[in-house]
Amino acid sequence: MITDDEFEALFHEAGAGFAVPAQGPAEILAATAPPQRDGNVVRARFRPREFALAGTSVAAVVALTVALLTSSGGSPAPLAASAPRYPVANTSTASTSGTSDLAASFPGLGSKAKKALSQAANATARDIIATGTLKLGLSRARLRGDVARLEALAASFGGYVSAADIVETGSRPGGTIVVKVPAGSFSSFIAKAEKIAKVRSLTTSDTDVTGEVVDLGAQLTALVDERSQLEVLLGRAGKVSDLLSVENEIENVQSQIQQIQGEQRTIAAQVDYSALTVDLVVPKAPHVSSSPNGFGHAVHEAVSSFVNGVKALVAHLGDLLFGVLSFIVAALIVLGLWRSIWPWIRRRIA
Amino acid sequence: MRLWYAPAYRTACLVLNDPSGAEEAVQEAFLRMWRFRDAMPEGEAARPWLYRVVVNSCYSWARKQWSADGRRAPSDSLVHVAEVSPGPDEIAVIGDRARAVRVALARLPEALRVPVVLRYYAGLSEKEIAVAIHRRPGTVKSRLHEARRLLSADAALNAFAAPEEGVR
Repeated sequence: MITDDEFEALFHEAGAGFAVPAQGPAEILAATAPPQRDGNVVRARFRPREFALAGTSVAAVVALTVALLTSSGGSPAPLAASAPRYPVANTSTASTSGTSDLAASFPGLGSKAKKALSQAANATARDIIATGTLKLGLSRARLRGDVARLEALAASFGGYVSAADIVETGSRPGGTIVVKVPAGSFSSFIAKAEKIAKVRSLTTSDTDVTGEVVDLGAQLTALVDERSQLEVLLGRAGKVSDLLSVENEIENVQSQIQQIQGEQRTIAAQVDYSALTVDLVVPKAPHVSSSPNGFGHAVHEAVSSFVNGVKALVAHLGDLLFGVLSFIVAALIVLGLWRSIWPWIRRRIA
Repeated sequence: MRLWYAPAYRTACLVLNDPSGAEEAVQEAFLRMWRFRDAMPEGEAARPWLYRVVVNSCYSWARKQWSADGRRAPSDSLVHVAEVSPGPDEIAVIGDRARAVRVALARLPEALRVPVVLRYYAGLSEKEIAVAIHRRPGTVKSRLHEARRLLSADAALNAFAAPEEGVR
């Protein structure tokens, strides 16, 4: 039996037989912390990759700037100009494609460098969910036609109406429709939608979900790794109890994977398609009075005056009635007193 | 990182018996460590965690090899890699004893090879190996025992180990 010490000596000798690649650590450092490293020897050896990473960053910044400048000049409607801008989705797309183009322009790049480029691209691309609420005032007669126009407009931008709740009859017709359009066309769509009817208000909001997307990706990677390891174990499980246990564990991991994938799909759909909630408000019909001038007006005024006079009389009659009643009561009291006192006075005089 | 690279690389070499594969696996392992550096435990617990990432990367690399070959991964995904004989240049470079260890390791199933490499090359305790391969300490102990038994039964390895015993 070989002792533990002998095993250690043998294993260390076997391990020492493998020559450690001198550039191994440098390659990892190049992939993880590219921008400001001061190792001169490593820098000289891996300059092309670092140059590619630096180029990626510059391209991303340029793409970002161009996208911002382009979008800031294209908001035609006054309300759109005062509302928050929506170029963020465009910006993230532009940075990603810029990085990909740069990566494609370095055909000799190694897989690790490409991975690093991809990481750099992911670091600059942002996942933004853009939403908005547009309140349009329109007439009852135009309600149906304007809804149809909004649907057609959404379709022309590659979007669709995801929800609609329209009331055409009753005292307060109107409703709400939710339109989803590709994120890149969101601001253009709003600008066109504003022209359909009178804009009462417009609010938009952008939510950055990049962190959430990255978290979900990391969780998914870890779970997929775990599932792979469990599948390896499944193949080696000898006993039925082990087999069932591993299968159960795989099912658990699989359900978690599906849940995360579902969340990813939901977020991706929200990022890809921006939602605009359009509130359609039909103003209440104002009260139309009869003609304010002419004979009719005079009669109306006379009737009103008469009615007002009667109303005033009735109001004052209450006061008068109270006074009369008070007087009668007082007179009766005085009369009663007089009748009871008068015989006594007469006897005294007599 | 530079201090960790050599032991991690040699551990991967002993597990995979493929230097280029080990280089890729270790590179991937360090990238994973960097990516998930926030999850890295501090102090004593860091060592088994690092080896765990290295071992997982070795598994991933082995699976990729099988996928690239268009074959279904067998239950022991590392065996096919380890059974590749060392080339003539490598034989010239490494000593006979080292080669004997590699051949003996190649004959071990992966479930035994990984703990035995972590124990005798990386110098991890049974408890640390349990953390590294995500198994109970009792399982690690029995696997190490089985690995020692099989390696001791290897004639070539025994031949190299025995003279030293005599010298002592």
